[in-house]
Amino acid sequence: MAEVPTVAAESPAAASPARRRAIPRELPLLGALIAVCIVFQLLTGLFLSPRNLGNLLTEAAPLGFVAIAAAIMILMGEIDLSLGSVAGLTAAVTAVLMNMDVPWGFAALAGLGVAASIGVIQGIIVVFFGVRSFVVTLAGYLVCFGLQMRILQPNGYVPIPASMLRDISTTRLPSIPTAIAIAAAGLLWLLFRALRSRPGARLSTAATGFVVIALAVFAVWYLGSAKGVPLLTAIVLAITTIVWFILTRTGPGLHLYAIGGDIAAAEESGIRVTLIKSVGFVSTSILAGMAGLALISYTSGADTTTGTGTLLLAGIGAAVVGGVSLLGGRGSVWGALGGALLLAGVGNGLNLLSLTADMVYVVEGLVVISALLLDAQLRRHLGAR
Amino acid sequence: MAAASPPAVLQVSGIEKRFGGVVALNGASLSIAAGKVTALVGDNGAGKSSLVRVISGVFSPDSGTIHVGGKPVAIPNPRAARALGIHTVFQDLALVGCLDVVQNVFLGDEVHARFGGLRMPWLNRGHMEQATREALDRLHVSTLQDLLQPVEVLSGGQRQTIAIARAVRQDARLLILDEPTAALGVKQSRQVFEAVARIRASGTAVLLISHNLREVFAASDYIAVMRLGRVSRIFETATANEEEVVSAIVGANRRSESEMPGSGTARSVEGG
Repeated sequence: MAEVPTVAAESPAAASPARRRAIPRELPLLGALIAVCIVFQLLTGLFLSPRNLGNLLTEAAPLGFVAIAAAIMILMGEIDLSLGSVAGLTAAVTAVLMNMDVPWGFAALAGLGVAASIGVIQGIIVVFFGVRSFVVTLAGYLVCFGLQMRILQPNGYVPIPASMLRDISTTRLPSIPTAIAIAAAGLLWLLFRALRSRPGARLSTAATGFVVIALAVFAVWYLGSAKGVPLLTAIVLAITTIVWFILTRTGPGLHLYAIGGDIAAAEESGIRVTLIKSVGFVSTSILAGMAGLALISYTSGADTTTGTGTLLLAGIGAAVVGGVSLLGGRGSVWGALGGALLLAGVGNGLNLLSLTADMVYVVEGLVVISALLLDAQLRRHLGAR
Repeated sequence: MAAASPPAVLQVSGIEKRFGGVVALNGASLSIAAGKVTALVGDNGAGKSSLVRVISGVFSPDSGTIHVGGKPVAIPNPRAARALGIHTVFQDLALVGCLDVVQNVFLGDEVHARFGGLRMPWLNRGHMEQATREALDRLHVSTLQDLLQPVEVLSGGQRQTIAIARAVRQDARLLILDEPTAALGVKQSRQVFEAVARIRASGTAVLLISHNLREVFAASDYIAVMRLGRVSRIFETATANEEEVVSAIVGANRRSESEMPGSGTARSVEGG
């Protein structure tokens, strides 16, 4: 662990809440998202249209899954370089099976099963044999990519037949029922919290809750004026919520943060480090597999570029831009998802400006660097970590 | 053994532990009395930390026996130690900087929410926050208002008391403190020893590992000296003098006092 500045227990600085609370790590991200929206809207006049936002959200789904997976990995102090090719291999396995007339559900489960077993193998090698995850997953990346190309022979492309899996990326949720469902669920949750907390406690939380619900309902209504909320987006949000809940509200999730924050302290506290890490490896591989399924749904098939290219690095970049510290133990999956949205938004906006794909990579790379520089500056300025 | 009169909370005998070719513990035996502070002193490399790690379940001994409350036990991991009422505050405090005070106090031992008697998968934060507040109150810690701040922003003294509060949150039979004041100033050290006195008065045995002989003499009932992987001598603090203890630590008890390094003025024994 790095040096921690110590403040004398009795000093007034320790008593001032403004000094003590760390600034939210997602703050620079929020600023960047707003800036991207404004800039591209001004430049294109189309960026914030319901139709374009719907497309953007659908495009962002695979990156969203990989960003969440990368965030989990980085939070527990590891790195997974195989996420992209695990997505690709899952896509290839599922596509090939569907072409052998296996029902899409079973084919998708088999694909996720392959992803999970890769997670198991990599987890065992890292946790029980003590090999660095960087090396193990780099090797895993090569193996999966090789298998993906092998499976997709001889054409290097396998289209998937018409099925529900293919339709997932084009399905939109009807806006009015969705808005009502969100409002009802949100209000119930707030009521539940209010009943359980002590009277007068954390009024600001309730206020924030109302604002979030109102924004969500507005977003659904707005997207409804085109075709509605993409089903894929709803799935990504649901899975992010589940992962967030596990990470922040359950023992194993907290232990994962502890392992990434200070593994020696975690061991001395009696945390089952090997178990948590193994489960972490498996769940991130499954999330990568979900990214693969989202990709074949979106592109109606698997080819040798599915999941490769920039998906992995953009996923890691998204997590880091979203405030997940590479030191481990600090950050949230919502930040990672926001980071994915930012990178997808930049890509989308540049496409609207008819910028060629090569320059899109350059700009995305610059966005990651700028966000990190801004983050570092803010942190130094505020004296927080 | 000097700790004969009050009942022994913990008794270890013939503990051996090797790391490759290095012998860390070479037949260490120790008995720790209830409601007393036993200090464990010795030069660096004498085996203090290794013995503590065996008792707290971090290391498994290669051989030797452990008795807790008169019964033979095995302590394969830190959970097992805690289940036996043995709570350890390691020198590094085993606190996770990025987690808040409550999360640290309950780390590895979280309280789950219950719904109609059923254990829910999520945690009961409210209960844990309350219990943390109570544990800190028992130690008369008043400098911590906000329990939801990450511990990395707190002072060394505050972190030490959080680690102790965590150790004695439940009824501890034995509290082990590994160099509790090594990183603390005078005032913060005093706060820690006030907490130790309260814990001792409640009937809990305390094993105090320290380099600082002034502290050891002020706070302990017994002084156990470790040398070359075993407990070589045990003194009763009330009747011991510092020169004797220093001689036992450096293994020079047969030499005359005038030959001892830093005799008379030596207040602490610092290794390399």
